[in-house]
Amino acid sequence: MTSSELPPSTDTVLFTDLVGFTEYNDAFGDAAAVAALDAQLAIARRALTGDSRLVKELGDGLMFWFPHPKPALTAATAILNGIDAAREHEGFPLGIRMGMHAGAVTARGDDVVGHTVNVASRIADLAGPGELVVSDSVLAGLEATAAVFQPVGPARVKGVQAPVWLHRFAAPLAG
Amino acid sequence: MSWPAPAPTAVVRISTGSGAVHVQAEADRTECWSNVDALDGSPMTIDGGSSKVEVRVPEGTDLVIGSTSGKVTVDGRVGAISVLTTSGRISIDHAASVDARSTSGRVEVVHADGECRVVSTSGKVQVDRCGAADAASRSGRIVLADAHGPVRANCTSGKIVVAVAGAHDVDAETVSGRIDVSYPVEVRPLVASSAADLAAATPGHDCTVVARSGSGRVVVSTR
Repeated sequence: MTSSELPPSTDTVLFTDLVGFTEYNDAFGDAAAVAALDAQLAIARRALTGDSRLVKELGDGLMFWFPHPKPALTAATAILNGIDAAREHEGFPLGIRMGMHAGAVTARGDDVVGHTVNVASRIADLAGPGELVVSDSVLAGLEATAAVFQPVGPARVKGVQAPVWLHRFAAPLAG
Repeated sequence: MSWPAPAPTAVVRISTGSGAVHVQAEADRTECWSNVDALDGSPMTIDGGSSKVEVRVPEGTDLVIGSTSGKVTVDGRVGAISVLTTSGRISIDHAASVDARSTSGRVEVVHADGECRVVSTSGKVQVDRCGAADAASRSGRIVLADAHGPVRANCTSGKIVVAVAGAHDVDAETVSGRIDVSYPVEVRPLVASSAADLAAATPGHDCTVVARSGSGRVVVSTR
């Protein structure tokens, strides 16, 4: 776990992305693509609890807001497990990748915007299929025994001097 | 500057923007050295900005490295290493385990004793020898030339080439790229297009290959 301090806000933003969706749509057509999106959305909605919120769909991706990194990690792992199960038993065709960052966000109608959102989106781009990658600020909000994470490296984000240190979720919640 | 080598559980962290990073692991070295001052605190962290960073470490040191566009080169035998670049090329000589990611830079790993995890968007991935492997690329070709453990490879439109050293399972997937998997002649893999197909298969095989390609050709052979 990192020694970074949790920022004043514990807002947590999660982005998901279906790996290879555009090419899949090209190869198999709109009906198959829409079926994949619907299946992903159903899995994601089942993973949400409490005040957590699916903010919006972004093409083949989803954006979520959580009040704290803990429910965000719980939901993210539930989505990962749900997609894995759908791939194994129901023929779900694509892998999912995820990025998560914690920090202040600004509400704009039903949307949330701000630097934290931009960084979370950038982190998702760096994850591989079936991976959840999180920032130091997310780890700072989790108990040391919450999960096992492996270092990924420092990412540079436009407009930010210091690098954002990233970690890969490697093992599920203990206990 | 020089500083004591990190404890076995610690790592050296190196970050640059456009500056290149070169790490040399040396068998007879007992302390770390860098041309850039390390930041105070733990873990040991070096921030090179746009300057080139040269680091020398004892063999087996764990490393976490990142750059935006600077090339990252690691020579000698290191411990667990994680490297993240945007466009910088990644070249790793010999590591206990590897996690390497680049958006557009090429990733080359000569030898990973254990797991080799590589994620690339468009850069080519070349791993000469590894234990278990987990490699993903959107359009860059993935080549795992000598895998000594189970392999998972995912490529959207690029080609996947895997040469497995023994009776290890392979899970390879593309949307449109070709998949080539080869085994030593004495290994008898069971080939299927989904995990569900494996459950219904007859016994008598040494390992399994699940290979799925939407429109690309799948070839599983012996050599």
